[in-house]
Amino acid sequence: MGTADDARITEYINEVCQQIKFREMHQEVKLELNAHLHEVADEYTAGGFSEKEAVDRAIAQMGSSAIVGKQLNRVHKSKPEWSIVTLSLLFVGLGLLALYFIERQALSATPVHLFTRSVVFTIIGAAIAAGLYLCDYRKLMPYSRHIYTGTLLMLVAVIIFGQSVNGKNYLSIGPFSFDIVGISPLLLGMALAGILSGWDWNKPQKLLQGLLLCVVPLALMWASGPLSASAVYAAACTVIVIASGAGRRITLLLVGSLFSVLIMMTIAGIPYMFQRLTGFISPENDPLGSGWLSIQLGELIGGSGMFGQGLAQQPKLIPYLHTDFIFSYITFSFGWIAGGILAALAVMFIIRLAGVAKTVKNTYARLLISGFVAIFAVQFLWNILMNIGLAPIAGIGLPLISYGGSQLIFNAAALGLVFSIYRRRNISITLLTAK
Amino acid sequence: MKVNKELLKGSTVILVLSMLDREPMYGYQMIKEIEKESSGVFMFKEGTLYPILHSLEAGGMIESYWWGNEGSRQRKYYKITEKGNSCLKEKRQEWETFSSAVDKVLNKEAFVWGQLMTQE
Repeated sequence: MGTADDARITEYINEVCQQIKFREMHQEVKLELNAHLHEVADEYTAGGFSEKEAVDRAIAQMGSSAIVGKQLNRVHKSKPEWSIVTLSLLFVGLGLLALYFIERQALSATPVHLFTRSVVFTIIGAAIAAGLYLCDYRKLMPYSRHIYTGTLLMLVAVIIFGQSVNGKNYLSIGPFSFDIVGISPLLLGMALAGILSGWDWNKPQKLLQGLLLCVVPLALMWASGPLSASAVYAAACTVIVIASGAGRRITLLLVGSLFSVLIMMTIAGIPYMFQRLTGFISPENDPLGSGWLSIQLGELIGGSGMFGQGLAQQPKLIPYLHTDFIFSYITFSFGWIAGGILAALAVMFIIRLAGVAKTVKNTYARLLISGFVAIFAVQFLWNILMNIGLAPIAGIGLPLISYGGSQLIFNAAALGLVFSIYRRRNISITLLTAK
Repeated sequence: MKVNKELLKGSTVILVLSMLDREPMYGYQMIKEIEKESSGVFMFKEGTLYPILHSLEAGGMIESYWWGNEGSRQRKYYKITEKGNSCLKEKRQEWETFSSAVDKVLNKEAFVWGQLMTQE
């Protein structure tokens, strides 16, 4: 086909794309319409038409470029996943409300400005989430290995330089302290999603490599933080491996190796964990020691009543009320019904997230969201269950609600990625061919 | 004979879905098939098919993938999803109810007129 005729096809397509405000869709529309127009024109030239005439007819058959463009623009307008956006905002808002009253009633053992700080964290988190939403998440994928190595190095740094505050190890850099262990499941989940998408589990060498990639961070996390963070990571890792196409046999192998690492590390020491566990099973045996927290929580929740004690009523002072036990505080203040609604909303949040994972076809995107779903699910469920006395007490917060800057900001970042994925779920060409 | 645009508009979704129910197709292939099978009654501006396809995909009714031999033309194929399948079933039923009702009314009218004519 002559260049002039080619140019007219390009011109038509550009006119269509001019109407489509979502620029990332242009490449895909261009390729699709280009294939269409060339095919029609080729048929006409085969039928004896001149090339110019063939292109004329092909373009005429398409109809007005403005109309096609406008209709496509309407389809590709931004339609956020409102249920997830609303639920996240609700959780953050509820967290801020609770923290405001915890600070005002001076219920927290740590004398920091919980509320003011949390507002700052929320603003930073929202800005990061919005930024990630606007960017193409696929640009993150090439950095997966860097994120992986970086997280491992940070975990090692925590083991060496970490400072223990309230039973958690923080890494301090200047005036800031980071809850590296708390955010490492999210970081490692992001990294593994990129590394393991398209992983060939059937090759023995790859299988071994994959298992090592999964197990090494677990050992480091276990050495540097609470069991709960390791459990969250293990769940995310397992889900990502399953989603990456590993069969049942390989998944079992992975779960087996994750468990054996956990068991070996537990045997290797840390009787503290064991104490927590016995405190959960029979708190009465040691009411002043390991069972103390369980009993206090039971009293707090038990005394909340159907509609709560209101915010004027001060609950008993127990540690971590602003972090791990914020659910108990909310239930105490607003009652059983409110606690139940919060738990139901958490379940809804997880289901909606999983729903997004189901609708995306890009493997990397699916692995990313699967990992996030696992992390949020374990955190929400364990936290709520431990607050009502059905799970062992561990250092695990309520995502988006509990106080904690590092976690809030990284949870917001994860949600930003989810929104970015949802926005781009209908782009099927890969970034490489597009550029 | 040409069909009223509005009439066509309401039926494109069911036409597209029933095409894709048979096999995955790309846009132009669908247009050719629909035109052929309707003996040229269903002819529309080809460009307007793509907004329909894209919105069906956004709604999870169909899925797309790029496919083509190396060196040859790459085409964007669409295939129906489970959700699209159940939507098609619904639309089919709706269409059958609708068209048989229209049929009944139209035929009744002809019948009545026929009677009047013979009476005169």
